[in-house]
This record gives sequence, C-alpha cells and structure tokens, in this order.
Amino acid sequence: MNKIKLIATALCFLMLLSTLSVQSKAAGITELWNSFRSGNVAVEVKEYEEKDGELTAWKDNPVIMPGMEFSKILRIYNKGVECYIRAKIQSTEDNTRLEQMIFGMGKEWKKALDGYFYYRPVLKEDGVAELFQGIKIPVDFSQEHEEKILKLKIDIDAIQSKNFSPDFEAESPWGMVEIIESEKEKNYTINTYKKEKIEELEIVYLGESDSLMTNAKDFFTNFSVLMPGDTFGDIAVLKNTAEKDVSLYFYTGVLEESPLLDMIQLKIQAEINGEKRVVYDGNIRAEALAKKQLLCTIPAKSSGTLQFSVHAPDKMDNRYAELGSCVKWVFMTEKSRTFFLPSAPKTGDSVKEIVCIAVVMLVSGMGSLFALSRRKKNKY
Amino acid sequence: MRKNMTKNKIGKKFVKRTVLAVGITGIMMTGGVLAYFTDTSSVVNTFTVGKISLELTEPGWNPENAKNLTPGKCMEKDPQITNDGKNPAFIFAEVSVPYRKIITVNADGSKNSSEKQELFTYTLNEGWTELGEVNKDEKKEVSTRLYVYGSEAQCKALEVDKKTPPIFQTITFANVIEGQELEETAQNVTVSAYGIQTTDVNGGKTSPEEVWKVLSGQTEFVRNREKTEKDEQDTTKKKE
Repeated sequence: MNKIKLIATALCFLMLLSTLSVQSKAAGITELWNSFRSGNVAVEVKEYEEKDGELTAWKDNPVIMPGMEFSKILRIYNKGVECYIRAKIQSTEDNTRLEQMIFGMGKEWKKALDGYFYYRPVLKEDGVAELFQGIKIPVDFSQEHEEKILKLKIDIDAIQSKNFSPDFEAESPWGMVEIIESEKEKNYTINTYKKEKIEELEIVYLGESDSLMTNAKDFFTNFSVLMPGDTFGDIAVLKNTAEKDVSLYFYTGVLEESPLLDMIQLKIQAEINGEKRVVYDGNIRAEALAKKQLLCTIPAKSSGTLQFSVHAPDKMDNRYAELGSCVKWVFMTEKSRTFFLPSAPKTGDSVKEIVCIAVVMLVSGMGSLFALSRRKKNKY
Repeated sequence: MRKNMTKNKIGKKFVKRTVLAVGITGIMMTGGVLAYFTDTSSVVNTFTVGKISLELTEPGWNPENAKNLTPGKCMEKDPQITNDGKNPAFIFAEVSVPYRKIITVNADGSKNSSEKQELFTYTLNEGWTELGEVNKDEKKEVSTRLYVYGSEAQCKALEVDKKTPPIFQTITFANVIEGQELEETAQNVTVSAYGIQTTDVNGGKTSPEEVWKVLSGQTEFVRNREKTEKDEQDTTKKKE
C-alpha cells in the first residue's frame, strides 16, 4: 500500500513540476511575430489577333502588303505588385513610319521625347494594359521592301509604382533608372497580411499574476509587401497594472532566414511619461537584438508606448524581390523565470521545451525509483 | 479582460496612433529612392513583305517571221502573263499598235480611201476584257488599248505560278499598198503587263475600273520616278 502511495506521490510531483515549468515561462514572457515579405514587379506580354470576334494567339510572320490592315493585339499583364509600364517600339525600318502603322493605342499612352510610350495610370495588381490593337500598312508602302523581312521589336518595362513618381511632362518621365528583368518566376502571388481586428496592439504586465500578455500575434499586420523605399510603422501600448514598477526586456530571433533581413532597418522607440528613448536603430538581424536588453521601465499603474518601424532601404534591387522572412520578438520582465537563456530563439524552441520537460520527468522518476529501492532495502 | 483594457480610451488612442504613423511615413517620404523593383519583357515580331512579280512571255513568237513583212501577213504572237511573285495578283495589259494614214486593199482587190488605220490587227482571247476607249497618241501615231484579266465587273485573281490565257493568238499586218513609205521601216507592237495585289486595294476594291485607277496612279508614279532617275543619270554622263 505504501508502495502505491509512494508511486502516486512521485507521479503527482512530476506532473506538478511539468506544469510549473510551462507556467513559469508563460507567466513572465510573451511573444510576438514579425512577418515580412518583399514584393515583386513582374509583367508578362501576350499577343493576340482577333478573328470573327474571337481572340487567338498571334501567329508570327504574316505576309504584308500595302494597304493591309490586320489585328494584332498586344497586352501587358501585371503579375506582380502595382507598377508603371512603358513600351518602346522599334523596327528594322524607319521608326517614324512604323508609328503610323500602329492603330488602337489608348489615350492612357503618351509618347515622350525619349522614344518610349508611357502608360500613365498605375497598372494594378492583376491588371491588364493594351498597347495597340493592330497594324495598318500604308498604301504608299514602298515597293522597295518587296520580299524583305521586317522585324518589329517591342520592349515593355515595368517599375514599382510605390515610392516612385514619374513626371509625364518631362523629356524622360522615369528619369535615369536602370530597368532589369525580374529574377523571379512570373507566377507571383501576392500574400497580403490581413490586419487583425484589434483597436491597438497592447503589451500588458498584469501585476496580480506577475504575467505579461499581448492581444496580437504579429507586429505588422497591416501591410502587404515591402518595396524599396517603404517604411511601415506602428505603435504598441505598454501597460503596467501592478502596484510596483516593472522593467520590460526583449530580444529577437530569426524564425525564417532570408537575405531580406540583411536589408531591413528597424527602429524602436519607447515613450514613458512623455520621455522618448531610442531603444534600437539598425539592421534587424544585428546580434545586439538577439541579446536580452532593456526596453523600458513602466511605473506602477502607468502606460507608455512602443513605436517601431521597419524600412526597406532604397538600395534594394531585384535580388531582394519576393522574399519572405519572420522574426520572433520575446518580451519579458526582469523576474521572468525561464528554462532558457535569452538568446536568439530558433524555430525548434518548442522541441527544446519538450526535451527539457522530459529531462525533468526522467530525473524525477529516477529519484522516485531510487527512494523506493532504498525503502525496500531498509525493510529487509 | 482584454476587452476591458481596450474599451477605455479607444477614440483618443486611435487618433494618436494614426498621427504617429503618418508622421513616420512623412519622414521617410522625404528620402530619395535610388533603386526599384523592375521588370522588362520583349517581343519580336517578324513580317515578310509580299511581292508582286509578273513575267510576260510569247511562246509562239518567232522574230524571224516579223522580218520583211508583206501586206496581210498573219504571224503567231501570243502574249501571256505568268504570276511569278509571292501573292495573287490582278492583271492588266496594254497593247500599243502603230497607225498611219494609209491606203489599204480589200480582199477582192478594191482600194480603200486613205485614212488613219492601225498597221496590225488581232482578236482578243476569251478571259480578257477591253476597258475604256482606245487611247491615241497623235504625236507617236500609236493606238493603245487596255485589257483586264477578268470581266468588266470584276478582276480575276491570278494565283501564284499560274498564267493567263494569251491576250491574243495571232497578229495580222494590214493589207497596205506599196509606196506609202512603210517599206524597210520597223514597226513595233508593244505589250505591257501590270499586276497589283488582290487584297486591300483601296479598301478592298475589285472592279477593274477602280483597281486600274489605283494601279495606274502608282504606275504613273513609278514611271515618273524612273524617268527622273534616268534623266539624272543622263545629266551625270553628259557632265563626265
């Protein structure tokens, strides 16, 4: 009977230990995730011809004759984020004549002095723009061209519309920009992070339970994708409901590796009682962020704010397009009891926790068995 | 618990938060943007310009038969046109025959009075239709007739590598009497062929009158240009 009691006691002790270990982590620590994703500019050009009201794919190398008019529809499909587009039409023959041959170009297109046709509206996500609808060979097309092969080259350029302001009255509306082909596949899907339905993000220290809690999972829940030049900022309210001051600490860890992190700049400011303090200003991957550091000290029954912003620098080019990453933020109080040192957490954190609990259970179990065996020994 | 926390100062906090967020954006907008996400895509289209080309042949013609012509002589002369271009074509032909004020003799030996008559006659073959009136060049003393391959209402397309029937089969020298200064002179019967694309002619016209209007205008332009080029060459040669 005593033996059974002893085993039961040991099991209860084990369960208690496990529960305490999990609770101790939950009590003084709260986590927030920070997901990033960069956008991508991608356009696709498709050509059609209309016959009897139906569109079919353009068949190249038709035989042309003076006075001939034929359907040739060139459409530009936006497969990325919102962008501006332009087109250059070049021919092996005299370009000025070629312009006369094209018909059906919408008023949205405007030719600039640099030779490009600029599409003035922003081409929306999944939007389509039509460059022209057909070609008409002039009646007086010179007979000198007989049997010649003419080539018509159409270049379509696209550039992000965000943080970019073309001047359509200028000689070169896009200015001096280098346009390079997107390195990504053009089946791009834009992942939009939906804003959580919360009034505001809060991180609250509950004095009565000595615990930290937050009302959201992700810091930045209100932006879609990062583009060069983008800055997204938000504010979290820091609250202390306790009767005593509490110091909040934090550290970050990379959950999803990406070259994008090398580019993103982070700025954190804490404001308590009207006093602002820059907690951090630098690259989001910096080692300093992976170490526990003081965020702020909130006086008893007070609140403050945590302002944070991420910035995608203007030197980001196509290499950084369509990348994703995730950073974990861990907030804790000074007295937080954890099993882990506040170092950069990895995705396997939960596994570690399970291993730790298992170790505790194993040690406890072995202790119980040892006690049982000693008891038996004493009996004999 | 969370609801209680957020309910208290909703309005005030919302305003404050918005203002701050706008502030951050404003600061960043002042900075210049040097690199952008971009993309570029190109298409190259190829077009082959068609070709209208004709070959005028007279397979039955023997130049020897045309030497030392005697009055009333009939010779085989069968001008026909082959489309050796890349596109179907509408075909026209001009036949120019010299005329003179001469006295001819009828079959029974009786003389006709002196009048302007063409030195050669022929019979138009089936498939060809005469258009308009005879054009007489008084200075050169040449009569020119225009023919279309097709009917009066519609041109007939001559497909690539196909040939028309001969415009006529034979040609007959007029039955002139001697002593009219025709002896030992060379007289030319000129046949000219013209072709034009069958599609998109002035919006798709196919009637011979309208098609010829387009073609003759273009032919006139080509002739004038060729003449100008020739004159320029002559001038250059003279200078040399």
